[in-house]
Amino acid sequence: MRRAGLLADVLLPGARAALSGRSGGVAVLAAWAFLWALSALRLGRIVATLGGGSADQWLALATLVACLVACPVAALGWLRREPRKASDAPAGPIDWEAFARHRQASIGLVLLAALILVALLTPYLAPFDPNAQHAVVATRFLPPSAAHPLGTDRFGRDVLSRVLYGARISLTIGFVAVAIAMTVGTLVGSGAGLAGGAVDAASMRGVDLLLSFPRLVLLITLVALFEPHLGLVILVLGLTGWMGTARIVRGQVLSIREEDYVQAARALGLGRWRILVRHVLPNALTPVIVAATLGVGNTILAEAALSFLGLGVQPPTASWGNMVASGRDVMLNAWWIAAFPGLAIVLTVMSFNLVGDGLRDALDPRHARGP
Amino acid sequence: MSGPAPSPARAGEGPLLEVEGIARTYAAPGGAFRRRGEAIHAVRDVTFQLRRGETLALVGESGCGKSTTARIVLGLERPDAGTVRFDGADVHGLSGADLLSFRRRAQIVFQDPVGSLNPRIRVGEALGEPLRVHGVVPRERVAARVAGLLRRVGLDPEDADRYPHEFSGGQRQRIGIARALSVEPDLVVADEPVSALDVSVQAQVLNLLSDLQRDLGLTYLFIAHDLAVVRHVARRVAVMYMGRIVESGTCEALFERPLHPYTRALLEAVPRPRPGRRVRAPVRGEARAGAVPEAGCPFEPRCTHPERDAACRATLPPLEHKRPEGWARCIKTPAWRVVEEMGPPAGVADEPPA
Repeated sequence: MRRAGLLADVLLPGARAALSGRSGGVAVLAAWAFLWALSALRLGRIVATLGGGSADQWLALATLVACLVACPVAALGWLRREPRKASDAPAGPIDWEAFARHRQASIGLVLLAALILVALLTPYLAPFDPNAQHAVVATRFLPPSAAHPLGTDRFGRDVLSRVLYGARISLTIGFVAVAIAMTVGTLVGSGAGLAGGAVDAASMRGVDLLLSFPRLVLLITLVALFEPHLGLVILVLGLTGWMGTARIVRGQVLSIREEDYVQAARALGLGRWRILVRHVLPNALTPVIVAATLGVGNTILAEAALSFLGLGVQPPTASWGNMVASGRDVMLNAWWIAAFPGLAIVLTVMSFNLVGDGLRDALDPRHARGP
Repeated sequence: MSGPAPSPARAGEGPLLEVEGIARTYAAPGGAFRRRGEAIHAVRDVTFQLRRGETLALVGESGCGKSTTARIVLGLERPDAGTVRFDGADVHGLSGADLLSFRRRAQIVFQDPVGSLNPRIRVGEALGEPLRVHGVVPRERVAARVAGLLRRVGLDPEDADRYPHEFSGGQRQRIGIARALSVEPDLVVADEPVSALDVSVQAQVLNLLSDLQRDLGLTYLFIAHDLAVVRHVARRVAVMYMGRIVESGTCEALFERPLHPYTRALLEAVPRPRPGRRVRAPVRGEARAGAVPEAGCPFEPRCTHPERDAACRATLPPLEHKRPEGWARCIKTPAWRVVEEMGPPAGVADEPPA
């Protein structure tokens, strides 16, 4: 009986959990089925990768293998444990169970995980080369069909493939730019909060000044000064997005440094850096993580706006923003060119926002238990 | 307190802690767009001494400057005036290795059992961190020492793997005490250590504190607002009102026959297990910074002493020697002998009349 259960978990991971009504089981089972179907359908490309592929393809292959291993591991480990009751105390400082009970956040997380997976697997997923053009006159403006599920654009390029490749660009920009913004914001904010006095006042007035510029105008100005390319767009988005974080961190540091446990750490003779890194910042970063999650969504939106204006990612590289822009003129005749990348933006930003909301609850160790 | 033979570290001469005339004023922050607020005198001219192995209780209502005094004593905050000497050395002049060794010898236990522990650090780590930073024990012995500390304060060594929010208030207070003990201090400042706890738990924590004092030869500065608690832990008491010590003396004498009307009021506020004997309202109104007279006795507006008069409003009463080991700031309590004859009191110094 136990061996049969073990076998079932390895061959069809998540199936037993799904049968007993756990949504986590359904997700694992769905991922398992999807991964095997993909491997079967794209066997040719996988074999070609083994014979010598680009870095992109190797990354996709590594992701595929990792996920195929992860599914049974999840079924054997995580899904076997009994879900904790709402009344019990959380096991650690991060209340993941509170997150799991937050239904919208769970949906957002699943969407997000799927999105990241798709971005990594794009070389295998995409039916066509995103930039390939053949017999443009015959293949352009084709409506969605079996061959081109999301249709083709004015150059006969497959919209689905371009949306998939656009996911990589958008997510890369979102994550890297937000990482830059959070780093700068945390440094400025904790510096201001710890130094206090004139340093604090000066840096916060600087932040106020920067915040009073409309971000898009700032972005357009900065990008227009230089030749637009991906690295510049990421840098500019990162360097215009840190002010909110700086404010949050400063406020947190100001209040946390008066907490008794920080005073106790001082009385124990712990060093200034140790107190900052081990006692102040970990407690200050909760709202930063939430802000970062929401920030990724906003950054993707800002990149789309920049690309839409022609200042972001440059054609022919596909980004959701420049795809919407290129479909703008033919919206009434070929709606699919702008609609699908637009939908991708909406879904992505929405899932980041949902996850951000859920994290807000899960990261507060003293949060009231219950949904 | 008959403790074990004092260790070499605490074998020095003289009192362990000498606080002399410390004062601290908080200026309401001014700025380009803000009106300059009134300065708050949190502590003014506070003087006391603490001998090795004894407990001095500092009592007063909230806002009277008890906690500020505690922070100044521990060097967490600088006084505007006055000095704090620990084992003969000026605490606020220490730096480098001397400061670090002072930090090992003077520790604090806080009132709030929730705020005093970092919510993201496991209990074992909270206790182990100071052990490693100060090299109290070799690294490989840290885990064993943490287990020993937890056992010492009545907790399970397995609790080291848990987070603070998994404990009750009393348990968390024990963890706070264990953390203070981790560096093997001589002086422990207990800032209202039981005020936030249930009465039944209060007794347990108080017993723990006095067991530790007996076994480890600790010196306590015990801060409280509740005189009933003080009676069980301290031999000497200093009562603070609006930043000043208004009466100090031995516990028995102060409880039997308070010298200052404010002490009397505090005593009458202690609930007694003898109903039916309601006392008159011992004070009027409440302490407010704005309500303090510029000159004269700061307690005068709330005083219910039958003889209070214009003289009370004229000058600030000096802290006078009223009886053996008893000092008070009240001109209506007869003086016992002139201060100068007595030499330096264990309690206090005078300040020139305002």
